[in-house]
This record gives sequence, structure tokens and C-alpha cells, in this order.
Amino acid sequence: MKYKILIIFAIAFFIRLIALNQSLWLDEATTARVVQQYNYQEIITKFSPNDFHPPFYYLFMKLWTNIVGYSEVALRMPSVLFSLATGCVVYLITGIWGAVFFLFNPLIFITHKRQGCI
Amino acid sequence: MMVTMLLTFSILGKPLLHRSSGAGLIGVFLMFSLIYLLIPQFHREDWKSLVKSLPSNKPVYMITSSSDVLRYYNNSLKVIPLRSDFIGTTVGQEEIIVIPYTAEIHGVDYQKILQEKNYRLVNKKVFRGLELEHWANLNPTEAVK
Repeated sequence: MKYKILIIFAIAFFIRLIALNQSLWLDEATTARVVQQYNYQEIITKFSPNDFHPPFYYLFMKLWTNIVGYSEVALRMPSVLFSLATGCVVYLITGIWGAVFFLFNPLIFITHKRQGCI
Repeated sequence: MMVTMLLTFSILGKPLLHRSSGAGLIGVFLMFSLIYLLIPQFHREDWKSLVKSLPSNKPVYMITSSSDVLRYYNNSLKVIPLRSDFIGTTVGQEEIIVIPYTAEIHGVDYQKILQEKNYRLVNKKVFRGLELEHWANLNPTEAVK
């Protein structure tokens, strides 16, 4: 059973890697600009007051991009990994079918859970 | 709906579908996912190709708050606000490049502005829904005011 689960998550991971370097769109590029332009403190004090999202995603992305860089793949990889982590939680709550349904749903979990934005 | 279905999986402790139906559904999911992922026509706006096609020595007119992608792919490009008071004010702008992305959302009738300043659309390219327009000034001496 564990072997089967590992295969399912491996397939889900590789599907999410396909075309991960496609062109950024506006919201993703805004993430890139924010983490390049502002330091940690400025994200909270200068950027967030004018934005309608809480600053934690940008703070995390600042830390992440400092380590792995600003490429399209680097910007999108946290979303890929968090969607797989969510798949683990769904698996623990619902079992294998729920996890499979979550991990391979094309409308939400393949398209949106790979973007470098909130 | 998704949450409801997942909770139903949890409460019942067994799948709503028979194993073969579930496998069929996952097959359909995979098919549509791969269609989306492998055929670039279904991807979002192609800013990468648009920026590659831009000449580096010409300024680009667009809504500046929507120009983050342009700056991401080429930070040295000069971006000028797509506003009436900026268009046609620089000497030598016989032909200008306009990216009208989000102009409609911002309520900017750039076509009217350009036509009033004697510009005419001479070329238009589309990069997966993203438009790149070249406008030429019919009377360059009158544009510089």
C-alpha cells in the first residue's frame, strides 16, 4: 500500500513539473518584483499596507528566492511542494481515493497549484 | 463541492465510486491535465516571447502597474505610462510600441488618444492573447508639443 501511495505522489509531482518554466503572468511577476525589490521589513511596512494579501506568502518567498533564485521554476516550486503536502493531509483524512481525486484534478490542482502567486 | 466530496470520502470510509469508475475518472483527469500542460496554446499569456521580440532601443507604452512581467524578463526596457500626457511628447517618436494589456480595465481609451495625436496602427502581433501594437505618427512634427 505504501509503495502504491509513493507512486501516486511521484506521478503527481512529475505532472506538476511539466511546462513549469512557461512564461510568468502578471501576479507571478509581481511576486518576483516584491521579493527582489523589498527586504523582509519593507515587505511588511511598505508593500503589505497597499496590498490586499497578508505578507506571509511574500516573506516566505523572499526566504525561498534568496536560496534558490528567481527563475520561473524557482518561483513556482513552493506551490508544487505545498500542493503535494496538502495531498498528504487529504490522504490522511480521506484515504487514497480522496488523495488521488485531489492530486489529479485538472481544473484546480494541476493548473492553479503550480503558480508563483497567492 | 470539492470539500463536500472529500468529506464524503472520509465519512463513508470508502470511495463513492466503484474502483473501475474511479480509475476511469482519474484517467479523464490525467487526459485533460496533459492536454493543458503539453499544448502551449492553452497556457497563459506568452510574455517571454513578447519581450524577446521587442527592440531594446525603443520605449514601450503600457499601463505601468501591469508592467512587472516586462521588467522581470528585461529590466532594462524603458516603460512609459500609456497616458495622454506622455504619448507623443518625445522627439523622434515616429513609431511607438504599445502593449495595451489591462488598458481597458484602467479605463484608458488608448486608441482614441493615439488617433487624436495623429498615430495610426501599422502592425499588431498577438502572443497568446497578449497584444503588441506598433503605431506610426502620420505627422511627427505636430506630435511634439
